[in-house]
Parts: sequence; structure tokens; C-alpha cells
Amino acid sequence: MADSTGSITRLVQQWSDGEDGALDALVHLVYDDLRVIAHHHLRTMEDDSTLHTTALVHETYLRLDGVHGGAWKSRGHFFAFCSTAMRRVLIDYARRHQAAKRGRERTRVPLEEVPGPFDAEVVQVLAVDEALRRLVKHDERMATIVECRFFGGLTVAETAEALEVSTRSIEREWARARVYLHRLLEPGSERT
Amino acid sequence: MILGRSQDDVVWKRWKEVDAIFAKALEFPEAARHRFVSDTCGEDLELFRSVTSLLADAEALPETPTGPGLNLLRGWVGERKVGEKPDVGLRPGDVVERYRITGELGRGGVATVFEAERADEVYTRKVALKVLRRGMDTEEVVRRFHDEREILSSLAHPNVASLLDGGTTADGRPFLVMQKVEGEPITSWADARDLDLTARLGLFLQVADAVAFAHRRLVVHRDIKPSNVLVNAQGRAILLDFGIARLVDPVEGRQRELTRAGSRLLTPEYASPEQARGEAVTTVSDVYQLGALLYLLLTGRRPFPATGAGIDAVAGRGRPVPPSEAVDPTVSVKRGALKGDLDTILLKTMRPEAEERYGSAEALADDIRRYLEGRPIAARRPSVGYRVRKFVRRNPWFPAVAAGVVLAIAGYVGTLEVQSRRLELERNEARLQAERAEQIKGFLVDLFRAADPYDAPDPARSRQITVVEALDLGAERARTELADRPFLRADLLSSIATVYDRMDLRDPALALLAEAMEVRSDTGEERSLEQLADLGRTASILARAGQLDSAEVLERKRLALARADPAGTPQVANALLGLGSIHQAAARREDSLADRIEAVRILRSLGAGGRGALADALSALADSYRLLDRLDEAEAAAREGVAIHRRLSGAQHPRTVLAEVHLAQLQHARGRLDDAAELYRNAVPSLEASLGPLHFNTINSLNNLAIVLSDAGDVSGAEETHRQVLARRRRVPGGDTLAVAASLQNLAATVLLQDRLEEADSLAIEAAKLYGQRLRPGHPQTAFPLLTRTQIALKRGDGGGAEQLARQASAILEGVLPDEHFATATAHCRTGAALALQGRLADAAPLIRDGLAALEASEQAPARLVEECRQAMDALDP
Repeated sequence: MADSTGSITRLVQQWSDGEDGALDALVHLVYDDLRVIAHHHLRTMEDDSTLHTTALVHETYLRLDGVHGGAWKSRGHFFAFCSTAMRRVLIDYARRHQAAKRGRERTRVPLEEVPGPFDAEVVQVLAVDEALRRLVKHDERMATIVECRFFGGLTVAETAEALEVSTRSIEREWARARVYLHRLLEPGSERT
Repeated sequence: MILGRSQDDVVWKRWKEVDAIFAKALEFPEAARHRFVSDTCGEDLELFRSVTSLLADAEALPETPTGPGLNLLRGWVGERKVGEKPDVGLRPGDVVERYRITGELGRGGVATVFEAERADEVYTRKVALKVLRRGMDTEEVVRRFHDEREILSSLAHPNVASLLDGGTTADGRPFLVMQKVEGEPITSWADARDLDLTARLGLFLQVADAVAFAHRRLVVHRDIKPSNVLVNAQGRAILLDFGIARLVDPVEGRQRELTRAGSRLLTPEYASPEQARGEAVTTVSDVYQLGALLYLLLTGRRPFPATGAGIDAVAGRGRPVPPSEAVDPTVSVKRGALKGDLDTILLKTMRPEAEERYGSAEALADDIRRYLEGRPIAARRPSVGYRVRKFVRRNPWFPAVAAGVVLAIAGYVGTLEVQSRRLELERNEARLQAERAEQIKGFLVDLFRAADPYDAPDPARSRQITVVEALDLGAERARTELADRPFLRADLLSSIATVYDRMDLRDPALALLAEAMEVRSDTGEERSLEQLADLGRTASILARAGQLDSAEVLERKRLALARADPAGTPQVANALLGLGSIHQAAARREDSLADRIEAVRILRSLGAGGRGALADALSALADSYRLLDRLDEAEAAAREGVAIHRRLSGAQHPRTVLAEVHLAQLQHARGRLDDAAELYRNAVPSLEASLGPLHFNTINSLNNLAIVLSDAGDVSGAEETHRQVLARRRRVPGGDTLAVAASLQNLAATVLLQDRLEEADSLAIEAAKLYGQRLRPGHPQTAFPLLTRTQIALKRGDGGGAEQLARQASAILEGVLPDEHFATATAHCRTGAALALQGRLADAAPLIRDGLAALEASEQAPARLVEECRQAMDALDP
């Protein structure tokens, strides 16, 4: 981890400057850290069927900020990044979980690969990811807000801090984003 | 109308436009959004629908997320898993509790309707089983569902598809079971049979009467349209889906129980403008929809054409073309017949401004009946409401009824004044209250000064409209003119609510009370005595509407608040009395008794200050004892109440006398007929002196006396008294035809007991004629003169005539009352007797046997009828 500190600082800078690919590289670098933290959470929450992404992000912040301190412009800056990263971690978990579930019918897969409490939300996580892929085509900023709120578990104020805009502006866009997301999540139903 | 997902493609296709308008619309208050979208989208219906559907979703989603992160999702989609299809997943052959699915009837946005039958084969009649879609099964929705189901099940009316049952499917979705109506939409039914104008109006009156019936029970239909009004093979119009729109609208529950339409459930061709704007939906919105239905029924055309009407058709549309100019030549209604009164009636019904319409479905039905009878109609332009506003400062006259309302409010305010004196703040508080009372009085007098006494073709009716409209105006003025006087505003709103409640307009009363309480909560007056009183009022209205659980919650809250306040002792007693009434309504008689005993104990301990309330509490206590058959204690409590009233108000005061009337009813029920008669005989002259000879309390006491005398076997005394009642009811100004008919019927029965057959027959025929004028065919009351005339025919030995009359009565009663009801049983028994008289003993026997069994099992059946049937039974088998 210490080896990557220098490159992380550089990547954060590049990401802040809006350089293509910097974010991907960054996520790739901290991915293992995030995964360890997430995995730990998931295993210790077996009695609780809810995944508290907020706690995950906050803990990640504490751990990574200590290591890469100074690389981030602000706490919000880190949160925005972390939300993106957490989205990938969770999606990976969800995919593996599903694969394991399908696999379980034929062969046994070591259980430790797949933390249990996740079960009911696996489908949701994948669905939200898919919905965001569609939303981002129409409005990138709205998709980022949803990512922060949903995967990062950020509050409206934290999201505003992360994206460096006013709270009011996040509130307004969030109000619409949730409607679009809701609609993307419930395709094909019909009302009379 | 399909508003939802079919707009999806457009949303994504025209994203930039849609999102820009959506974003702007969200900046407006909810009520103004539709108007904005409508104006902005112009004729672009596609755009309008997309944005509207997004707004509907925005309003339906919970404001605050239920938790962070992934939990956000739960609040949006309930417990439903993402990606699961909204299909409720039932197939023919599946069993839902006691029902087996036999087919699918239709699929809507909120529910899927199946055809089903009883799986346990208790009966084989097909039913409609409506299963709510997933995502509505949160705890709150289920609770509301339960409350509303109770209300709907009270809608037993021959022209309303009845709610038979309900429950929860294996996977937790609520469902309703409703009568499955075999029929045709009202408009195509009428057209297929080439019905003439009178027949169409008759058909429509069935619908209007059913809606009025539901309104009296606080149920608003919200979605009256031809496909929801089916006519069966017998020509009976039956309304479907009563109140379902509200029941299944998840937005509702979050809005303080105020009735607000979920705009996404609208059928735009028939929606009222206020519904389309997302404003409060009241009974008057149903009046509008009735108008749209009648318009289509009479002209063959919709009031607003579907094409070209665009957005205006939904939110901001004006008045329709007068029906006489719109009539379709293929409809068998002549243009000339609509010109004049019917144009006026329909245009008034469909006024875009809710306050300009008929005040109720009943008023609309009355006006159509006036038209059919060739009498002048009440709808005149400009309406009373128009004049209220126009002459708001001009006319110093105000009508008797309005004055009465002002006095009622002033009296109520006076009570408040007394109750609100807290010891430590006595002087300040009293002055403040007096000031408030003065302001309220001034405000109301100002309001009623607006009423114009001229040009009122039907004084009784237009006065009522005046009062309602004036009250609406008053509430509105309180909101705007007293915006910075929250205490006064709240008091005024709750005063207006009290008057609404007295006029049996419970929805607006509840809405205003909620508003008043919220104002006080916002300004820290949450524990004031006024707030406690309003909690009690709200509870009492809910209790009368059958929402006992909600009422109990409120009463218990009041009780807790009152107990926490050292000056709240009288309110503790009041809350206990409120709880007592709720327990009684829920048949928890012991609980009711316990609360009332405690209330009486508290009020006794207050000494002289609580005496008036103590007397009322004693009446309630007497009632509890009576229901538990502890009649001696009941009588003691009632007598003590009478004594207190007499000391406080004097022997002649109506309060004292009405307490005596209560005691008389108790004695009547106990079979102490002489005592009861004595009490009534004393009460009547006092009531005549204080309330007047034609007051309904006076006449009712006289009527009760007649019934006591009849029960006591004093037939000539009963006849004499019934004649007095009849004479007075005929003299009541703007008299109640139904009450006159009831008196004629009572008199006919009494005369018949004395075997004066000719006279009895002509009285019964007159009663029947009056019932026929006022009641729709098939109303149970129309059967009573028939039953009397059956008896007359039997005594004359006319078996054939008796049979015919008895069968007519049976047909009516079977349609509306259960077979076990004593009236139905009597009809069966008399049919049997008529058959026996013709020597058809084999046919007669089962009718008499079953009739007698039902009569003997009934607790309500008068002994005379049981005895008569028993004799018919004995006569069969000497």
C-alpha cells in the first residue's frame, strides 16, 4: 500500500484536473483496500441484513486518509471518489454473489467468498448500477449525485461538499434524480 | 387513462425538454404545478403527459429517505424487489384465502381484478377480486386500507357494488372482494334501448342518489365515469369502485387524511378541474363528475372533446358548450328539450369553480326532480355564491338560518371563554378570550351580511347553499386575513368546522380541525384547552364515521394531555366521556360504563362548576346501564340528570325537557308504558312553549307518545295523537314529504287495527303516493304501505289482491333487506296467508313457516307482527 502512495497522490491530482482515466486508475489502486474494509464489514454484520455504505465510506476515509493524507483537496473530494470506488466494490460483490448462487446449485463454492447478509440487496445493487449506466447518458451530474447518495451513502450536505456545489442545487437535482432512478428501476409497469 | 410508463420513451427521447420543465415545475407548490406544466406545454400533449407522470412520481415518493445508502431504495419501492414484475402472479385455479380465481377481468395500475368464486362453496356467485399491486404494502398503507375497508363496507346500497370481503394474499398484498356486476355502461345501455329523456334522467337519478348516500357516509367516489356505472338486466344502475381511488392512492396517507387526488389516477375526460390541479377533492368534485356523466348521457357527447382540447381539458378548462347545442343527432333526446332548465342545471353542475356548483349530489338530484315535476328549479344564474362575493359589503340583511349559525358559534365561543379561564391567568385570559369571541362574532356577522335575500326560488335550499358557501368563504378569509393571528385563526377555523359538522359535512369539518390543530402546534399552543377540545371534536367526528380506532387514539391523546395539566380536570372528564362513546360504538359496553362512571365521579368532585356537564354525563351513564340491562341503575342516573337540569335551567328549559324525553325512551324500552306516556305528555307542552309546536323535537316527542299509546293498547289515543303529528307535519314550512308519508302510514296502521278498512286503505294509498314522489322505486319504505294494504285485502277476504300486494312488497324488500329482516319475513308471511286464503295451502306453508322462524328470531320484530304470523301458522294446521 505504501508503495502506491506516490502514484495515488499523482492520480488524485490528475483526476482533479479532469484527466481521462485517472479515476479508473485511482480506483484500481485503492480497490484492494476498499475490498478488505468492505469484506470486514460484511462479515461482521451477519445479523443485520442491511449494508451500511455510509459506515464503509467513513471507515475507508479514516484508513486511507491516514495513508494518503494530503493527496485529497478536501474530505468532500475524497467522498466523491470513494463513492465511485465503493460502487465498483459492491457491484463486484454482487456479481460474485450471484455467480456463486447459481454455482451452488451445481458445485460447492467456498462460502467465505460470499458474505451472507448481502443477499436481499444483491439484485438491487446490480439494478441500480444498470439504471445509473442509463441515467449517465442523459445527465452525468445527476448520475454522480445518485452515486454519492446511494453507493457512497452521503447526505445531501456531504454530496454538495463532494461536488463543490450548493446544498440547494443538490436538493433540486436529487429531487429529480430519484424520480428518474425510480422509473428506471421499475420498467414496464403500466398505470390506468 | 394511461399516464405512467408509456410516457417513458418520451421522457428519454425528449430528455432535455422534459427535464427542464420538470425541474421548473418542482419549484412551484404542489397545487400550482399542473397549471404551470399545462401552460408551458401548450398543445404538446406528449410532453405534457411525460412531465405530469414524472410529477406524479415525485409526489408519490417519500420526502425523506428512510435511511442512508441502500436503504434509500426501500422507501421508494416498498418491500418490492427491484426488477420483479408488477404482475400479481395469480392464475385461474389459484386460491386466495376463501376464493378461487376463475379468470382475469382487468388490469390497472394499482390493482389487478380477477373473477373469483368461493373456494369453500358456501355460495357459487361470482365475485370480483381486486388485488393491490406490490409496493403498497407498507404498514401505513395496510392500516389505512383497513380503515377504509370498514367505511366501504358500510356502503350497503342497491345502487352501489358492495364490498363483500377483503384480506391479504399469501404474499402480503391486500385484496378486496366486491360484488361482480353483470351489466353494460350506463351510456351504451341507454343508447341501445333508445331511452327517452325522462328515462335517462330517471337512470341518472339512481346514480346521483347513490352518490349522495355515499357522501353522507363520507365516501367520495372520485372517478365517476360511464365504465364505472353499469346497468344490469333489471335496469338498475350500479356504481363500481366507490372510494377505491382514495383507498389505493399511497399519496393520500401522508397528507393528514385530507382528501387530495393522486393526479396520476385521473380519468381526464371526467376529472374536475380541481382534481386535475391536484387540489383537495371534496364531494363537490363528485358533483362535477356526475355532471360530466349526465352531459354524455343526454347529449351523446363528452363535455370536452378528447381531440383538440389538449391541456385545457385537464387543469384549466372552462365551461362546456351548453348541452342543447352539443346534442348528437343519433341520441334520442331532442335539442329543444335540453334548452332552458337542463342547460342551466348541467352548466351549474360543471362549473369550473367548485363553489359555484351544487353544494351536494342531493341538491343536484333535487333539482332534476323539480325539473321532472315541472316545478321551478333552484339553479339560477348568477348563483348565490356569486352574489355572496359580489355584494360582500353591501347588504345589511342576513337570513334567519345564517343568524342561527352565528348564534351557535357565538354560544360555542362563549363556552370556550368559560372553559379557558385558568386560575393563575384568569383575568388576562378572560379578557383575551372575550376579545377573540368578539372578533369571531364580528367576522362571521360580516360574512353573513353578504347573503342576498332576493331571488331565492326555493328558500330552504338556497339558504343552505348560502351557509355552506359563506363558511367556505369564511375559512378562506381566515387564512388570508388572519395570517398573522394564528390563535384567532385556529379558533375561527375550528368554529367553522363545528358548524360544518352540525350540517353533517364531515370531510370539510375534519380538514378544518386538522388545520386548526396544526396551526396551534406550530405556535406552541399544543396543550391549550382549545387544542384539547379540537382533539375531542375530531375524535367524535371520526367515531361517528365509524373510524373507531383512529378516534380512540385521539381521545387517549387528549386524555393524556388533560391529565398532565393541573387545570385540565374538566377535559379529563370530557375525554373519558368521548372514550365512553367510542367503546359503546365498538360494543365494548363494560369499558364504556367504566369510563362514564369515572367521568361522573370527576364531574361530581368539581362541585357547582361542572353541574351542566355532570347532567350530560349522567345521561350517557344511563345509556351504558341500559345497554347492560342494568335498568334500575339506568333509571336512577337518568333521573338524577333530569333533576340537575331542572335545578340549573328550570323545568321548562329544552335541555331539561329533552333529558326527560330520554328518560321516557328508557321507560318505553323497559315496558313501563304508563310512565313513558306520562313523561311525554309533560314534555310536549314544554317543548311547544320553548321550541314551538312545529319543531322537530316537539313533533318527534308527540310521535313517540303515539307509539307508546299504541304499544299500550290505547288504539284510539294513538290514532288521535298520530292525527296531531300528521297535521303538524303537513304544516311545517318547506315540509318534509317523507315525514308526512310516514305519519300517513302510521295512521293507516292504527286505523286498520280498528278495522276501519276503507279509511285505512285510502290513507295507505296516499302514503304510497308520497313515497313514490320522493323515493326511488324499490326503496324499502315504499313496501310498508303495500304491507298494510295486504292486511286490508286479507281482512276483506280478497286473497288474490292480497297475494299481488304482498308479492310486490316482497320483491322490494328482498332486493334491499336480508331475508331474516322482520319486514321481509312479514311480507313472506302475509304472502303465505294470502295463498292460504285462496286454498293453496301447500304453497302457503313454507312461506309462513320460514317467515315465522325469522320473526321469532328477530329482536326488532314488534310482538304484534310475530303474533299475527303465528296465527297464520295455526290457521294452516287447525
